[in-house]
Amino acid sequence: MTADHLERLPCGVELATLIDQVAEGLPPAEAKHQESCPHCQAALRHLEPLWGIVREVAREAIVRPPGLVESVVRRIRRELRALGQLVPLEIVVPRLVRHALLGGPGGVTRIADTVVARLVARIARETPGVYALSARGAIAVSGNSPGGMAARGVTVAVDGHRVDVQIRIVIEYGRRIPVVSAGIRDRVVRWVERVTGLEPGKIDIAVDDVYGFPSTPEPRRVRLAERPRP
Amino acid sequence: MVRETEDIHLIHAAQTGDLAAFEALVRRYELPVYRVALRLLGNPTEAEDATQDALVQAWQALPTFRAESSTATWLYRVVTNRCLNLLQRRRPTEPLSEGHEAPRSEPGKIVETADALDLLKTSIMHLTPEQRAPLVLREFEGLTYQEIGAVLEISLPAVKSRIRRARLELVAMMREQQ
Repeated sequence: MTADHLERLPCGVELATLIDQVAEGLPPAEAKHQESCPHCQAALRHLEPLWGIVREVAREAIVRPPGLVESVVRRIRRELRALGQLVPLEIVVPRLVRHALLGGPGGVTRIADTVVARLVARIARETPGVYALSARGAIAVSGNSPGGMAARGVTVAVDGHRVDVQIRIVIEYGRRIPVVSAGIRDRVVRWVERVTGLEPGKIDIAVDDVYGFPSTPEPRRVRLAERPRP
Repeated sequence: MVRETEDIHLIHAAQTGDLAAFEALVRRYELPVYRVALRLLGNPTEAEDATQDALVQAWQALPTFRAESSTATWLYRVVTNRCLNLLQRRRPTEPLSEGHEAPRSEPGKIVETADALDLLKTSIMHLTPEQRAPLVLREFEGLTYQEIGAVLEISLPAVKSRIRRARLELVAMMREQQ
């Protein structure tokens, strides 16, 4: 049974228009006609109590299931534990900041890795085709890199005047990964050199996710437990 | 406005891995999120599962969340998508008329109030998911047409037409029962 969406009353008024009027509590579109039209009046007499039922259901109190939030938090904790990290490491143990060093005749300039990481994060985020930086960098502390995490989605490792970078991104749907990653590398090299005077070394890029599939309402879901460990 | 600002602070904290902040955020919205799931799925157990899934999914999606829409809109979107996916899996593109007739009351019998409420809820379950979602968001959550468009990521005319259609179907089903 499917309602005829063009169903009209004998007077020519669409039934759907009257339903919208009742449901939204709107004034009639043609007040004069409605006042004197027996068909409209009869339909309204029928629709008002019927929509009253909808309103009554809307007023029904719905009780939240007990412990819902706790269950959600437990599940998230489980997933994080599967990664071996409950919270970002730097929250538990203040991280040792490492510095890049630029020596010159007039003295030494020390640049904290955090500075480089923040700069790289901004440059990467603003590269065409990058939807966002991936948060996985935020809970991933690179095991062998001396730099560790300093900005979400970016890990830098400084050694003297050389800086190696790892960037994790979410790419926009429809973009070509080689083009986007080449764009990131190009911009990072240029800006890190220009702003810090350091020498960019390896720039590793991980594409963790894609955003904006045209016809899939649910974003691709990757369970944390299935993700490769950083 | 204050609530929105607080939400943004909580989201920023959650984005840096602060689970307590996310928990606080979720507490603010667990009821509306669950309510939508219940109205869309019609079954409390399924609705609770879908709500949990949606909220865990929201946590996973935090890195890509940009404050372009309000927190409520974002969470409504996550839970609605979750439910629509479940509904699609449950009955893939099955027409209403085949084997899914709403239960009929005896002819001529006056529908009691409680029966009428149940009848309405059953009728809502017979709407297509595409019609049910905007109807639920409008009639039961009181969202504006614009907000519904943002939740479902469809245009304003599409929202209006789906709601109009859903209401008409609902009225037709209720009339048949009375």
